[in-house]
Amino acid sequence: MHNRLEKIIEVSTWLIIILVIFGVRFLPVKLLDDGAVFLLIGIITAIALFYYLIVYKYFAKTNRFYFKNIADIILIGVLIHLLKDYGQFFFALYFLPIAAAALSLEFISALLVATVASLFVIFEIFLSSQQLLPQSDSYFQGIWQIALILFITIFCRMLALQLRQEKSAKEESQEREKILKEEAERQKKFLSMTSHQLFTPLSMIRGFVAMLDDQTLGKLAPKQKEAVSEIHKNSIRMISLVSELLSISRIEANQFILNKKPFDLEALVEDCIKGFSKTIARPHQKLVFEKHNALAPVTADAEKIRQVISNLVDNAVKYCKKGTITISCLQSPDWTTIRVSDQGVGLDAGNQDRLFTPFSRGQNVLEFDNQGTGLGLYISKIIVEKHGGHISAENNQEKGATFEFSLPMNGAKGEHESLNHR
Amino acid sequence: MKVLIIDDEKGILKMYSEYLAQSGIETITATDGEVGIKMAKEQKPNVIFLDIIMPRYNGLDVLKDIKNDPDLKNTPVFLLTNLPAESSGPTAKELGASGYLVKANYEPKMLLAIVKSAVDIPLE
Repeated sequence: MHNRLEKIIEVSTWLIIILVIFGVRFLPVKLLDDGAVFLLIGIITAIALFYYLIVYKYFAKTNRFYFKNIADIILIGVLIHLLKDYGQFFFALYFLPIAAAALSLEFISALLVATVASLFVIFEIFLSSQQLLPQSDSYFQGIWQIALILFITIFCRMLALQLRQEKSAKEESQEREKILKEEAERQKKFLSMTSHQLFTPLSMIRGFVAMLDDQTLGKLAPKQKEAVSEIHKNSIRMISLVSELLSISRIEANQFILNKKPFDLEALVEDCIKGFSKTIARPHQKLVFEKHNALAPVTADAEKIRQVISNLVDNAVKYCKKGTITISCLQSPDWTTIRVSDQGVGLDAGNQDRLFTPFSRGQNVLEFDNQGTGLGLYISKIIVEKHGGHISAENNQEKGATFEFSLPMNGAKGEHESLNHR
Repeated sequence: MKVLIIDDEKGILKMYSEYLAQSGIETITATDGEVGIKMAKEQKPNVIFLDIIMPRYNGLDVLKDIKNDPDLKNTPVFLLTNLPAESSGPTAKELGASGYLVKANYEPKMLLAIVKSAVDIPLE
C-alpha cells in the first residue's frame, strides 16, 4: 500500500517536472527581474537544504519522498527559466539539490551521486567548448539543455534512491540479525538456567538415593532396599526424561550446536560398549563390535554421535533380553554407516513409520517393562539429520531388528546414499 | 589424598563429601569461590571440583584464577555443574579444566572414580 502510494507520487512528480520545465523554458518573456531571481534561488535552495537535511532525514524512515519531490519541482522550474539568460553558472546551481539529496545518504554514497552529476556537466561544458553543441539561442539548444537536465536529474535521483534502498535494506537486515541474536542468546540463557534449576534438586535426589541404595548410609531391610532401588531407578529415568526434553527444547529453539571435529570412531564405539558393561545381562545378552576393516577418522560431533549410538544400543538392550547385539561400522569414500543389530522381538509391523517420532513406543512395551523416555530415537534422528545423514530401521530376515545411520565422511551436508552392504 | 569441592549448594557438598570421606578420601568444602581459592592455596588439594553458578564469584572466574596461580595451576580442576555442557563446556576447556561433569549424571561413586583416575594421570 505504502509502496504503491510512493510510486504514484514519484511518477506524478516527474510528469509535473516535465510540464513545468517545458512551460517555463519556452515562456516568451522573463517573469522576474535579476534581483528577484537571485532572492528566489536563495530561498528555494535554503528550503531544499532544509527538507533534504532535516525533514527528509526525519521522514526517511517512513519513506515520505514527496517532500523531496515538491522541492525538486520548484527548483528545477526556476533554474530552467534562468538558463535561458544566465548560462552555465546557474546550470551548475542545479547540482546543489542533487548533492543535498545525496547528503541524506552516507558520505561516500553522497559523494558518488554528486560526482556523477558533475561529470555530466563537465562533459556538457567540454562538448560546448569543442563547439559540438548548438551555440545560438535556438529551440534546438533549448531542447538539448532540457533533455540533459532531465537525464541528469532522473539518473542521479535513481542512483540516490538505489543507494538509499540498499542502505536501508542493509540496516534492516543488520537490525533483524541483531534481534535474532539477542533472542537466541536469551533462549540459550533461559534453557541453561532451566537445566540448572531442574537438575539441581534431581541430582541431589539421585545422589542421596544412590547412597541409600548401595547402603553407604547404613543397612536397609529387604523391603526398604527394594523401595529405594525403585526410587533410584526412577530418579535416573526422570533425569533422562528431563535431559531429553531439554535437548528437544534446544533443537526447537535452534540452540542445538554441532561441534564437528575429526574423531576416532572405533575408540568411540568401544567406549560406548564399555559404558554398557554393567547394563548387559550376561550370559543371556551379548554386546559385540564387529569390525570389517580399519576405520578412517569421521568428522562429526563426537559427543552427539556417542549419544546416538548409546540410544540405539540402549533400545536394543531393552528389546533383546536374550541374544547378541552387534555394532558394526562400514565406510565408503563418502559415507560412514553405523549399524546396531539385535536378535530381539523386532519392530511392530504397523509402527515403523512412527519409530522416530516423539514418545513413540512399540506395542510390546509393557511386556518388556520399558523404562525409556520415548524420545531417544527422535533425538537420534535429529542429530543424524543435522549432520546431513540419515537414520533408518528394519526387521532382520531371521530375528530382531537393525537400526542404522549414515554420516557424510567430510562432515558436510550432502545427499544421502545408502551403502547397501546388506 | 585431598579433594576440595566448591559449591554453594550445601546438600551437594554434603552428598559428595560424605561419600568420598567414607571411601577414605579427605574432603574439604567451600560454599563460595573466594573461600574456595583461599582454601586451595592453604591446603593444596590433589583434585578440585568446582560449581559454576555461585553468588559473587562465578566458577569460571575461579577456574581462571586457579590456573593463573603458579602453586595451583597443575591441580586438576573439574567443573561440577548442572549447566549443560554446550553452554560452558568450551569455555571451561579453554581455561584449562580437566573435565566438565553434569552433576545429575554423576552419583557420588562416579565422582570417586573420577578422583582416582585424575590422580593416576601424571601431571605435567
